[in-house]
Amino acid sequence: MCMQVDASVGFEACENESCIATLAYTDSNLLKNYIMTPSHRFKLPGLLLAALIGIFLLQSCASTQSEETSIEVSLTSDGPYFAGANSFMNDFSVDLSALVSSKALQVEDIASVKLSKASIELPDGEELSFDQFNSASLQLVSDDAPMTSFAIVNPIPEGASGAIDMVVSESAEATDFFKQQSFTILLDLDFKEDDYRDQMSVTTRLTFNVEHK
Amino acid sequence: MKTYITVLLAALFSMTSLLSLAQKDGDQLVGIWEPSNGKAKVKIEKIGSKYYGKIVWLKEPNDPETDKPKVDKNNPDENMRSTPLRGYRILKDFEYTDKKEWSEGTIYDPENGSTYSCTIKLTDPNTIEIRGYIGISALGRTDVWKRLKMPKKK
Repeated sequence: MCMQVDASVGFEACENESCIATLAYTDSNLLKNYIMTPSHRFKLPGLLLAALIGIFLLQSCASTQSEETSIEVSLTSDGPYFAGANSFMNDFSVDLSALVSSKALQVEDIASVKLSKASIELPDGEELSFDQFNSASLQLVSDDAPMTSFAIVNPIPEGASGAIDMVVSESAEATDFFKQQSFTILLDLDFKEDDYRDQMSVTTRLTFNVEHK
Repeated sequence: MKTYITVLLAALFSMTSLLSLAQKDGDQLVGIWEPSNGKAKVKIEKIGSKYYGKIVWLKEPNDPETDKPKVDKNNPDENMRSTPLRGYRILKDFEYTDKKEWSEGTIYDPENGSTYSCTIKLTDPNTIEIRGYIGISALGRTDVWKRLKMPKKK
């Protein structure tokens, strides 16, 4: 990400999000003094190093931008449900043109996609309670990318209502899923007891951090 | 012209039948299986076009150290270590190869947190050989799993 580099000569890289490097010499003779003054001659390698790091950061910042995007998907499952993990799922169609607000992306523009937040919520008006479940775990799956676990909540807090936040994996990458036309979101809900309903649904809200060109 | 259409339809029908047969063969893996050590039972199911196996029963469901249900405490990702082992998908992404074999998948060993490449071979309708390996198939270990027969409904 963009970082501020403030070397001793005032070399500043990546100002705000525009990532424009500006050379701000606070004193026009500073460079000359650094080179010419014998007592400061040893600082020349440091100066060059700072300049190189600045150029590197400038290039990195210019090549990718980072934006967050959120999706909300209703996941369903057909009953009956037996005690233990039952799978709720739904397909999600990837629309790269609307994935981020700044531009319509192409597949080759995507550098990295990571899940940053995940929550689940039970629908209103149905006699469902989070107290019926021990835990919930979230995976993404598709024909062309390996199934990957992204978030977990275990145990589900007693008496929880509304939306429950999940703990998100620090390493799982969603990039390959967003390079496809669609993927499946799969939530495993661990039932405490058998439940003989015909169908249930759970809403999941996922926020992804998208790095793109 | 009529002959061409007939041939085309026949070819299309044959292809559909072959695909359907291959799909049916692949589904022979679906069911509940027991590894040779008897420590767990694994339910293999199909999601999309691939096969996945999750733990549905554990001989020792609770961790003796905590006396709570076992979790994936060896997961390399610290944030995911609270995932319960019951319900955990240890077999992932298997594709049917049409010779009573499923490949391209992985098997996860919760006892050390490692994931291995894996192939599955159906040796008879109720027996599979599961081979986990690192890199090449020769460097691995094979385990024999038996299908769990469910009692018939009366």
